[in-house]
Amino acid sequence: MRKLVLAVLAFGPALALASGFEVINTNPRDLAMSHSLVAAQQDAAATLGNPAALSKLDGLNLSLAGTWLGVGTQWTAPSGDPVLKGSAETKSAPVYPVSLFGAYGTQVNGHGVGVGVGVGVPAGGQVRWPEDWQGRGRIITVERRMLGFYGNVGYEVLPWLRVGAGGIYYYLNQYFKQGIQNSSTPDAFAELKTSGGALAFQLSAEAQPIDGLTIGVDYKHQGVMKTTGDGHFSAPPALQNFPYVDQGVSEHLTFPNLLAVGVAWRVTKPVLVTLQYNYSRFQSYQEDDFVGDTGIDIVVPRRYSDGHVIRGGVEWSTSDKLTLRAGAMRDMSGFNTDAYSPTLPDSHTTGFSVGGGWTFFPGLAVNAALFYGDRDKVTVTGTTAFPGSYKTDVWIASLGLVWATGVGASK
Amino acid sequence: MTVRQKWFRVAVPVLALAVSGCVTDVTQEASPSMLRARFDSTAGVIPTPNDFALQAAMGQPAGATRTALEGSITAGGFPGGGPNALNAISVPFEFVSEGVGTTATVWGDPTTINSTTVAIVKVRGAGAPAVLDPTALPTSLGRIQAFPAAGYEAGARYVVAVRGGPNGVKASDGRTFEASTPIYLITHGVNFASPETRPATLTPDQAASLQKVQGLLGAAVDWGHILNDGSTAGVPAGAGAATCAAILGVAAAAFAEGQCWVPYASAAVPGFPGDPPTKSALAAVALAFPVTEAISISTFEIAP
Repeated sequence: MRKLVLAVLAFGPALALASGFEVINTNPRDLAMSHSLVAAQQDAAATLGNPAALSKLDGLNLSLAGTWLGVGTQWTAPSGDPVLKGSAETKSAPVYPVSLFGAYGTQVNGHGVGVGVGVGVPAGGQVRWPEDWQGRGRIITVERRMLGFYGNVGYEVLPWLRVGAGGIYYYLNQYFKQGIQNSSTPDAFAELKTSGGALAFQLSAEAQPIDGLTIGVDYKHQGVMKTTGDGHFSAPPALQNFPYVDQGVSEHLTFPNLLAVGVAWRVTKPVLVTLQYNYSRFQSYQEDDFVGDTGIDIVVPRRYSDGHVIRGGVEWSTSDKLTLRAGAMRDMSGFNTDAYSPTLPDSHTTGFSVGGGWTFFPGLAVNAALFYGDRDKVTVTGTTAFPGSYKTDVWIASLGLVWATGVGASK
Repeated sequence: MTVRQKWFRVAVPVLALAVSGCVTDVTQEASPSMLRARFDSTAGVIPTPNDFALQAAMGQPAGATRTALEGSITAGGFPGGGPNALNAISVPFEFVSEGVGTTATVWGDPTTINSTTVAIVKVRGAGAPAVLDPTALPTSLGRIQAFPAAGYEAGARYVVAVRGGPNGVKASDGRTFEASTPIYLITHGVNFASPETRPATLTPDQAASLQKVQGLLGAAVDWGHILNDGSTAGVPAGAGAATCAAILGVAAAAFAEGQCWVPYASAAVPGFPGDPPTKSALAAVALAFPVTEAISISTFEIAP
């Protein structure tokens, strides 16, 4: 099979607000505290954040939220480059991740037990460069949509110790468009779309060794998604040569192991402080490899190493009605400047978040959050990457409700 | 709860999921069948007469074709005379089926060969530059052939281009011709120097080769022979092979017979004056029709 290592044919993902193509938890309460709540889950969203906390629920609980997520990247040509000049910016192309969870908790033989199901967006990508930009030979459009379907159980082992476990189904749907050459033939491009999924599992625990202090840990196993789909080449006849013809395409993409460890400290009754560390095993992301069924094999080097994030947040219940939240984070991504690509304008990120909640009546609250991610400017190195520097900003707004319906509640 | 309320409760999360999960659709299409002009120097498929054919003569297997090409090198150009196999303008094409090249099985239509579809431009010689009328010759299978109606001028230099697309020459069944990938990229001004401006499908070696061809077609370059017998100015007897190798960047062993046909702008041949044509090949084609519609371009010289 003909194999091409195409540094210049860089189909791949983009976006994210954690290492690689991972996305920050967009549930409004989590987002408002920069995703630092592994030790402070309290509603159906614990299905994603820490299933052990499901055992604290009483009756049917719903957590439903929608999100607006926008990423903007500016590319600047290297100074003195004989070919590349000026700059380019990605076009506005927001995405709308959801966070929909339902859970039910009760007591069994004096032990809390909770079951939760739901769907979230654990990863993804969205980049839309101008059709005629100078890097069109690398990428024009990336649409990577990943959904995580979660089904988990939480169990209260001891009054101070809870554990959780369950299954995850990761589903990936992705589309890439790349110019076949420079802007002299803007009608020449290639498209790929593949989709598929993988099963994984989740383990978690929550412990409260002393009053006011909670320790949480959550582990999600990697999912190797086997995706298949179609590749299409749109080009003048002169550029349509075997094996660059329409064909089936497949890619195996690993969504890595994720580990979150954190503490939540209730400083005073109305004030909660959280601190969390996240580890993402992105060493599994060494390349994107798209294999065609009639001879083409497109390998895009990534060469990632593992990602590490430190997060923290504060939650202040000012009254029975109003709760205010804030958070911050620093993400040390595992990207490699030698294999950097405009398909994935990743970088180390400093993030800030604010938000709040309004409780209409006991059990029903509306939460909102706003997040800004300031990515460090990246200047690529080596001879493989698309030359230049990249500066990316990320804005996320989320709105949702949490409803302890009372259905099946013991009190 | 009304039916509408129930529908709403179901539709909202489904719609939300759809928004989160949907991406642009892609469907496969059958690759087009087409007729394409050929130019593949690595496979010895070169429109003739052509400077590139003479340049590649030493790579040809021994036989009548190589002998004839070597004769043209020694003579300082292709023979004039009548429309024989050597100097008829001959452009091969192939039938491409679903992206996979196969041997041509169609005939060209000689009635579509005229001054708007085949550009014959004299770029050096009496009256140059001048666009000449072509005379169509009976086509052979998988090949278009023509000849300048006024005949060749001894010592003159010519550029010949065949036009493709709806305004160009056609096959006997009316189908149009497309350019091969290299000619398409060259005529569309692709910058082969940088991986960011050339097609990703090209290897660095291919890109370098096309850059050379583009440079030769885009500049008013003379070609000439270097012989081993000392008759070439600035090249001592016995030094022909080494000089050829130095200019073309290959091993001297490729020119064991001590002669070659090279672009004549090279400073590697001291004292070799050259006689540049009035126009580059691409500029000459533009006198007849848009160069981006050219599917085949040849440059050649007629022996004095």
